[in-house]
Amino acid sequence: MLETEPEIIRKAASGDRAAFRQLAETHQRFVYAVAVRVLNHPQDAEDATQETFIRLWKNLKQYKAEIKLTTWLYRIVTNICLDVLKSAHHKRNRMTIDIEKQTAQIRTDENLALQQTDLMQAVESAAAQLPHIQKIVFVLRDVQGLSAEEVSQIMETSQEKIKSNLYHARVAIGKYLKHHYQTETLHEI
Amino acid sequence: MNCSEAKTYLINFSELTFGQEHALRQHATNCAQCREELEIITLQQSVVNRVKAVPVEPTHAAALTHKIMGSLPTQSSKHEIWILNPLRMVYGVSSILLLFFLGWELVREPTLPISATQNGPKLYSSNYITKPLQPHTKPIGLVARIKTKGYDIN
Repeated sequence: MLETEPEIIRKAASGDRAAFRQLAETHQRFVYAVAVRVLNHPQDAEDATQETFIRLWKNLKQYKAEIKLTTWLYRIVTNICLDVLKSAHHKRNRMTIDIEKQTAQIRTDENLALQQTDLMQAVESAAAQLPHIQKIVFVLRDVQGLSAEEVSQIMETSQEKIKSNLYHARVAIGKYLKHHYQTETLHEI
Repeated sequence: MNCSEAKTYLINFSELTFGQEHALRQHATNCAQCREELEIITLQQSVVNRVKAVPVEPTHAAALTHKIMGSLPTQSSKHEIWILNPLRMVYGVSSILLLFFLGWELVREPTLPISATQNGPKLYSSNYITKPLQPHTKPIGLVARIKTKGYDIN
């Protein structure tokens, strides 16, 4: 018989590692997706995912059913990503430079079609210029597709602030994309 | 629609109804500033919508799960024997030894026939509680008390 998530959480909270493995297998993908889109680095994203689940394991006893587990995981991973972004300016800058080089290469090659991966690199590059909070709001709202209400719960702030941060992030990314690609090419997008 | 309302619509761009978006586009046709912002946000949204369609997953999901499970610390469960904590053990053993010592003192106490005064009770702590010293009882001096124990101080 299949167990419901609350039952699995209860088992995991009492120290059942097999139950916790089920939780990790179910949720690690979206946790990793957020981490890699915020940090732009697969290895850092794996480390952030690992740290997220370690924190979940340590604090699972305090889990209350009023809040969804996914919301809690989003909150943990965004906090970890914020810490990483704050503590690794040099690393982020290095990655930004790498991405900008790639983007410049795409721009100069007029015959190269704009593939999804190229667009993704351009968006990542644009998002890397944003303030940390705006970047996280953008990833959660526009890329992960969460509602403003969910993002405000995760970030523990008002929906107005979320919308304001998102607006500024969208404008900044849009300007970056407009600046980096030719208008003719953009119409094709 | 004025620019202020248009700005509100731009902030809520992805949540607009068809009618609201149409009104915003109508306003943008006559307002260069709002038109530019609308173009930028429309471009951003179209690019992001294509980007988010690409799934992002760890290269080796099973390996990541394994890594997570391998790094979990021992969780203190409700079945944990709390006394196994070294500090708690030291505290517990010390408390037990102190209790034994005090108990032994109480057992040994009646064998100490030392009086605090000439006619007073024996020097038991329990006697001091039940039969306190009379206020006018003359206490024995230190020398006299030593002599009662048979020591020669001369």
